[in-house]
Amino acid sequence: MPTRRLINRWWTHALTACFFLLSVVPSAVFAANEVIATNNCHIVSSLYGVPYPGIPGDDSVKKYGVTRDVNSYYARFKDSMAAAIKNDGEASIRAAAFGAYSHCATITVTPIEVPYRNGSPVYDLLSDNTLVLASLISSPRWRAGWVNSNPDPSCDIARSGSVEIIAVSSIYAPLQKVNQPFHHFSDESVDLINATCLAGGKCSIRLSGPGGIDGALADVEPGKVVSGLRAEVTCDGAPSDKAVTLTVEANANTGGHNHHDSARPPGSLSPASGNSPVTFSFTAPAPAGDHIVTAKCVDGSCGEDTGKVWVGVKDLYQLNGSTAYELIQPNADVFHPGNHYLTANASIVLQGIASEWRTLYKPFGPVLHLNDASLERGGYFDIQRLWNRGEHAEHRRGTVIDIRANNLPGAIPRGDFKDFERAARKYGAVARLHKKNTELQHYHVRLFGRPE
Amino acid sequence: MKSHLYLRAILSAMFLLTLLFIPVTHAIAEQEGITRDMVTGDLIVTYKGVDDQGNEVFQKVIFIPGTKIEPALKSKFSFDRNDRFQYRYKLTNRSTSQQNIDLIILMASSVVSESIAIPEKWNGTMSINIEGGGNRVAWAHWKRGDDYAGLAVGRSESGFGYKSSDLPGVGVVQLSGATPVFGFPDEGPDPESEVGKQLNQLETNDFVPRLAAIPRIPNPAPFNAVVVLGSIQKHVQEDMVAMQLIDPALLGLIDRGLTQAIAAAQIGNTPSLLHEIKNLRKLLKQEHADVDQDNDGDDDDKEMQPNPRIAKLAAKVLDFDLKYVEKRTKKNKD
Repeated sequence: MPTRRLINRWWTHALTACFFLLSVVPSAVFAANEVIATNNCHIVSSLYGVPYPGIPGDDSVKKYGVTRDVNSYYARFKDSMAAAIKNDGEASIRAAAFGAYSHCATITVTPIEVPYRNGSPVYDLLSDNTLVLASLISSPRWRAGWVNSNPDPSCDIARSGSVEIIAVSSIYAPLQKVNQPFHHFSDESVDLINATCLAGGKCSIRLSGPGGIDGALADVEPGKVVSGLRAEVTCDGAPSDKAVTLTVEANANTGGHNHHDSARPPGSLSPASGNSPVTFSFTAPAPAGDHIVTAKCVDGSCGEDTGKVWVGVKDLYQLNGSTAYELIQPNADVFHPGNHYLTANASIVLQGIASEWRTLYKPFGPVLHLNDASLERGGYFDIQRLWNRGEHAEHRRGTVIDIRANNLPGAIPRGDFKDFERAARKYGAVARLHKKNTELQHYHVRLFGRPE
Repeated sequence: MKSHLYLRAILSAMFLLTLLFIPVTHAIAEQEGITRDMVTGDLIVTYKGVDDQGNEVFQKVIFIPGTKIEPALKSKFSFDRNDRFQYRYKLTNRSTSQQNIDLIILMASSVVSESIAIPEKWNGTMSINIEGGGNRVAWAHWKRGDDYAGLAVGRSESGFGYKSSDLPGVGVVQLSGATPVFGFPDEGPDPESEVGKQLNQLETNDFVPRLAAIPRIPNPAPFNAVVVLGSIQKHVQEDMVAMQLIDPALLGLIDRGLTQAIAAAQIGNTPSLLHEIKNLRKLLKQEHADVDQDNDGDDDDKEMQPNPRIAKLAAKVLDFDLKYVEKRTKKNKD
């Protein structure tokens, strides 16, 4: 990182009559000052220039311009500069700059964001004699301000002021590098709004992965790790080694959870930063859901890219209605409305137990009343909305289901408990009473006889 | 001065009390684990759970294993006219058992549906063994409201059976003793915790295994000697060896004989195939004189040798399978 020293000086050489200036202001051909830079391009730009007094002997670094309305100015600026470059070249620009030199006010364009508010340092001078904007460049909110430093009392009327510029769609700042001709409008001009080099340096970042459901970067089961995710920066189509930072967050109301708060675990990325290309892995949290990975360049110069990682257990199916059992619906837990999901094989086992219970054991009694199985994508069924802790720790993979066994209608009668346990075991399942001797008593049935 | 002495006495007493209490508090500190009651054989499971207020507390439940039984199981198998094999079992709950037997489970390569033989007071089910393939056959004793119902100690029951199109091999039958309903005041231990894993292991293995003749050798239709002999060889090499039913020296002889029989079957050399089968059966008969007798199974009562190199059940199963191949080969030849 180059060393920087802040420059906070205002023009001291406003030389000509302010009346001239004030008469010109409404017509708005004030020299523009868009001395703005991006970190990667080290931009110094201005429309009309005089040597910047802060850097004796270095007339390549300029800061000029006056305008009240960047938007309206910009249209003229772009056209005139294009014409100037095309027709007259640099000499024309110099001439125009000299004309503006007579203004008694200067305009600076500053970002609004703290700490660079009005009058604060706007530019940093880098060790390589380029100027950079000492703030985020991605913000479209800029303030055009002017300060009249002419000591002539007649200039007091236009001593200072500012207007906020909100609707700037695009500002192209010409690029000037060290040792390049003054106001050399190279093809490396910069779109200040998007903070990317338009040509010769336009950068973008792209996420990729092994692929997944619904265009996801990847699929991964809760608690598991998926590798092979990648963030890659290219500038003008060529790979770049820009520093990249990665973040991830869970999408609200996904994965069968109709609740969301800041405690929802987002999972983790490893590594979460590095130089492009960054190959990283994602460790999924216990709850299922969509997780959004965002990749950015540290210097903000390449925009951002986002991608989804699908976290869940695949191939879970909602239990259909059956004469052999009854689904307890609607689910009293409004935060997890879809609670009857099982794997296909687990459904077969359940159907076997329920059918036998219906035909052999209880032909005249209540059918099995089924409560919580798994959520639509499995993962931690946080019935207490604690995300990755609390009860229902096992209802994650669609092989476990709760069956009513209390005093409510449809419950397995106490006298049949042992028969039900035997019936379950005949099909390879293990049924154990949970919340025993409470009003929430139920059979927790591991349909394959093992925990999830 | 006097008060100073009092103070010293109090401090000394406090120190002594502290010393006394430290080991006491250590002794009563609970921790997760499973311990066995040396008198009853029951398992006391202590785990971190929650009380009815949701507070984390140590919970304690008693897991009574269904393994306090000493069962004996005899297998009988025969060939019927419909090209199917009849399997029958006699279960005895020996007098040394402490529990009634209420559940019998086995996994077979295939079972003919609706062929389950069910004794009185029992029910039987044949289902698909989803994870392992083949069929799952289970009998459960039932008597509503009686958690401990089952085949009583000292009693036998012989009405269990089914049919299959597959030949017998040796397999494990899971037998469980009747236990009371087991449950937790909450949702039980975290299945990922050490105690949770141990309890899962206990529940998974909560049965007493007994070996029996079970359909394990696929028998394709039409009959294919190469396939059947290949399955027999695989069963001997893998299952019988794993169950330690055969001596390595005898295994070598049988394996070689089966390889030669398969080679003969592959080239259609029936005389050679029959010769190899005859030799193999002779080997088995040298180990168990009554290996080809249709008796009740696996009692080693008529031994040719004091220490046979193959378990009798394995020998009988193998002999039966070879006899079947021999019979079908002769039939095809005719």
